[in-house]
Amino acid sequence: MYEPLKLNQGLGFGGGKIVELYMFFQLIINGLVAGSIYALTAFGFTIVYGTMRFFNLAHGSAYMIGAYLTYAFLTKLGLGLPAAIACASVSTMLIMLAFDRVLFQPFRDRHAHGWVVAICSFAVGLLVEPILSLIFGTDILSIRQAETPIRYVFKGIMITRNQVVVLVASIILMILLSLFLKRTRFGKAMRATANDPEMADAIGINVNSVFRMSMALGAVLAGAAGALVSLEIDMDPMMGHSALLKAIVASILGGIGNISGAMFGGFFLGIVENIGIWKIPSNWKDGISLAIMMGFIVLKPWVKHHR
Amino acid sequence: MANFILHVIIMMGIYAILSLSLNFMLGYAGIISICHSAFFGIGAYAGALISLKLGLPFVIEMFLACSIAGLCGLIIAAPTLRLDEDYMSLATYAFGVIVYTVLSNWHSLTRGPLGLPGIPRIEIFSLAFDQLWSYACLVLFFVALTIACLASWIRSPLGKLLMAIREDQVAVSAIGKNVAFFKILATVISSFFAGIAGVLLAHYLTFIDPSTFVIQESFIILGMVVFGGMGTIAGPVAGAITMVFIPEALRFIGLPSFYAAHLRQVMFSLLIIMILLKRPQGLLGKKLE
Amino acid sequence: MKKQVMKLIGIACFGVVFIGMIVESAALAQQAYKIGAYLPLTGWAANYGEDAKRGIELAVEEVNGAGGIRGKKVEVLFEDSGGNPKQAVSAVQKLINIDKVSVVVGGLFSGEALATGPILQGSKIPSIATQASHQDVTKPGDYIFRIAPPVTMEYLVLDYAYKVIGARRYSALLFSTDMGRESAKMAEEYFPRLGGKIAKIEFFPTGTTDFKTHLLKIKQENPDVIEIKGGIKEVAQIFKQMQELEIKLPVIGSNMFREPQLWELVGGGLKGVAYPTWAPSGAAKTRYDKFLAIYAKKYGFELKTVTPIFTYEATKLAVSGLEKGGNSGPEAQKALVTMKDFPGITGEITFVKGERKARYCIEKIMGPGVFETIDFCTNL
Repeated sequence: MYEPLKLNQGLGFGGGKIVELYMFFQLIINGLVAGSIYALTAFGFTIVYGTMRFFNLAHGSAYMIGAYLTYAFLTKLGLGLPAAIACASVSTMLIMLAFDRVLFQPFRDRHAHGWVVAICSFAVGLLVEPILSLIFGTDILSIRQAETPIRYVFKGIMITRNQVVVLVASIILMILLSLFLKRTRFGKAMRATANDPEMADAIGINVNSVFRMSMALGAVLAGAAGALVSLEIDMDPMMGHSALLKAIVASILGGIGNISGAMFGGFFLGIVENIGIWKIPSNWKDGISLAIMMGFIVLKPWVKHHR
Repeated sequence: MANFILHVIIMMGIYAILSLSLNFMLGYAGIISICHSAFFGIGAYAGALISLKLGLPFVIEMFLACSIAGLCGLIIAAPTLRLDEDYMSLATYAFGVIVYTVLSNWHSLTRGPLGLPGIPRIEIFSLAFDQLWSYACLVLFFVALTIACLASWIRSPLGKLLMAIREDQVAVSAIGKNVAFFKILATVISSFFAGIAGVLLAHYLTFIDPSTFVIQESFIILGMVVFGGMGTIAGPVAGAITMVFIPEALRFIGLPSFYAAHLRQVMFSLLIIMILLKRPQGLLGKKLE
Repeated sequence: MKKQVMKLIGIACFGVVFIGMIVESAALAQQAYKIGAYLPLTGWAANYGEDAKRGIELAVEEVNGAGGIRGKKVEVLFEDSGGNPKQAVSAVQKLINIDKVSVVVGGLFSGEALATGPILQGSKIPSIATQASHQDVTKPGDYIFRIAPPVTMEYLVLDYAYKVIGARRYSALLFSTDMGRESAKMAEEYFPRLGGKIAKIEFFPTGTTDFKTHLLKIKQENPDVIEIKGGIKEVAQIFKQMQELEIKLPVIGSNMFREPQLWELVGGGLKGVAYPTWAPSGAAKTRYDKFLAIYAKKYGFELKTVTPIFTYEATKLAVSGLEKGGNSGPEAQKALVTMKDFPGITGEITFVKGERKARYCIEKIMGPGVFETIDFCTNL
């Protein structure tokens, strides 16, 4: 049943350089798929951070809730997959809006220090994990099927159908949201607030609804990211932590508060991670992306200064 | 019973030192830092390695380990000084995760996930601190030392200068003071004291591994400062005491054992949230305008 | 000033309540036989902790159902270790000093076992660690016992790979923990000695979800066997991605592959995976099968992980120590040290310097819950 795989078998290539090239493209594909999830999550994080200057440490929880609700809708309510993902994303948005109303809003009203709200969101993150454990148990849950996945192969480079779904869905969502921000009036109001909240308030923009909309959008994107990622990986109550980290790193790579930048940051992060560990021992993966991010942060003002 | 109380006191003391040191740079000098777990970890690993590999006397080991932690403070402070608030917080976050990654992966030095077991108990002038009560005294001594040093610096002209920097950097540099130098100084002092906490933890647990110094620790320490009240001396101590106390106290509440552990975490987070809602300035913080 | 006084009163109330709770707990602590258990009930290893708890509760129920120890009931107190050394120390401190247990069961992971060992040794409370694999776990002294399979089982599976599978180019995808690192060291030293070559060893940090690049790196070196070690979640991902990348290689690993939940997550791809494991035979096998049956009956589902097997055994051992020795730490320890051929469910248990000897054989997964023991064994 098991035969040792000969690398060049059936690929019609010679060895050496061409193999490296095939590897390179395969890694790019892997990177884009992983990156699309990072981009989606980072997009959501940056909308909130950019508009409200709110370091939402519960963003990872939104991602996790999206994944778990998809599982619930799929298995307990028997919804079809697209419906489950959509409902999960919307429900996540509603849940986060509720948290915002009850917990974060009061801090904003009282002009509390930025870090106080951040710690509150951290506590919310601490809260969500055991609640999910109580409802769903601590076992690892999966919505993936155990049979062979459908895959598309082109010249030896391979992508599975689920990966295509993730990639396409993420890109569509991000395009939709970018259009919303650029074309609609509300989107413009959001960008104005992100730029200068006091000025926005002065010219009559309802800053509070802008904030609420930002939270809603941020949450729906995080929830969607979690829902989509559950197609590819299994879920457990700790998955929010790394999602938050990736979102932050990608946001920085794209430029703080730069919403479209966050998207590119996400894709860039995905690709860099995969290509990086090709040559460098894999356990340094997180370190590589962070070092690059640090480089960006530190060099950016220097570059600006010397332009 | 007394042993358990002593254990809790030791943990409160270690976290009090951490919170006080973070508060010095954050609450007084206004420098954002979410990487205190990094200084904590570096102090712990430095202390552990020095005592395991070099066997130097404790006082020297403590001084060296803290200096290394302080050096790391310098390394993160210098390039990030000129960044504005948003970037600074994220840069320190990145630094915290980088340090964790290095601790986990630099096997030849830190043994990575295998951790450093068998860290010896502390001995000063052949007085062994291997009993709980003596260790608690040692920890409390360092807490007192930290409070004394930081409080005196805060009340000194240096402290006033740092507070001025927190309020209006530009004005301070306008009167000719080298703002960059003082910000770096505040960071180095802060990380130096965080190193003390690290060394104390390493010798207490006798085993450390990178998992104790994940980035979430930074948020917990920040939480203690915020919760207790930024910009005061008693605040961070109160924050550390409460946030160490609550999870331990919750162990005593009889809950159906199937859900007990999760419910405790829920209760802890809810308590933090509720108290913050009632007092956003922290337990002992100054009221906001 | 009034505010400060109010705050002080508040803190004083805290203190009074706390002390009150401690005193009350300590008072109740005197009667009955008490076993303490520190488990990762929350955090990254919560699913293992929960399952471990089920094993312990099953054992205690059985013991008390049969009359307890000389008519007195056995009680187990659980504390959450969070799977990390710092919290584990708090958990054990409470168990020893407040709950006043006589024996402690726990140590699913090396970190928590290493941090709590010195405390248990110093307080003269015997500790039975279950699966912690670090070699220093039993170092603190004669109060620390371990029933885990030792890492030296690795040599058995390497032998199997070379001699039975016929592998000559070894590759591995291992989690970057003490277990993974030790395993790699042993393979790097032993496999070439047998005559094979190390093709590629890749590590991943715990929590990795994307292994495709690691797998591609391994695939490129043309190995003829791959060893996989990781947590359930990671191993499941690895198999799924191996399928996606069409990597078909004989797989070897640790007895973690017995985790029943793995088949749920991976399915048929697991068929044929070989690993070394304890091989209960004869009376032990009967006890083991009986354990599986009562577990399924009590909880309504099959074993989720292999942790309950060890915690059940550890609890039974602890009870035996209390019964034969006496209701205190030192007395129980004496009984455990002189324990001979205790009827465990993974084999008969005799402790030598805190470690137990057992017979290990290679086993292959053939179906969900269906394992085939290969006659390739060793005594360790």
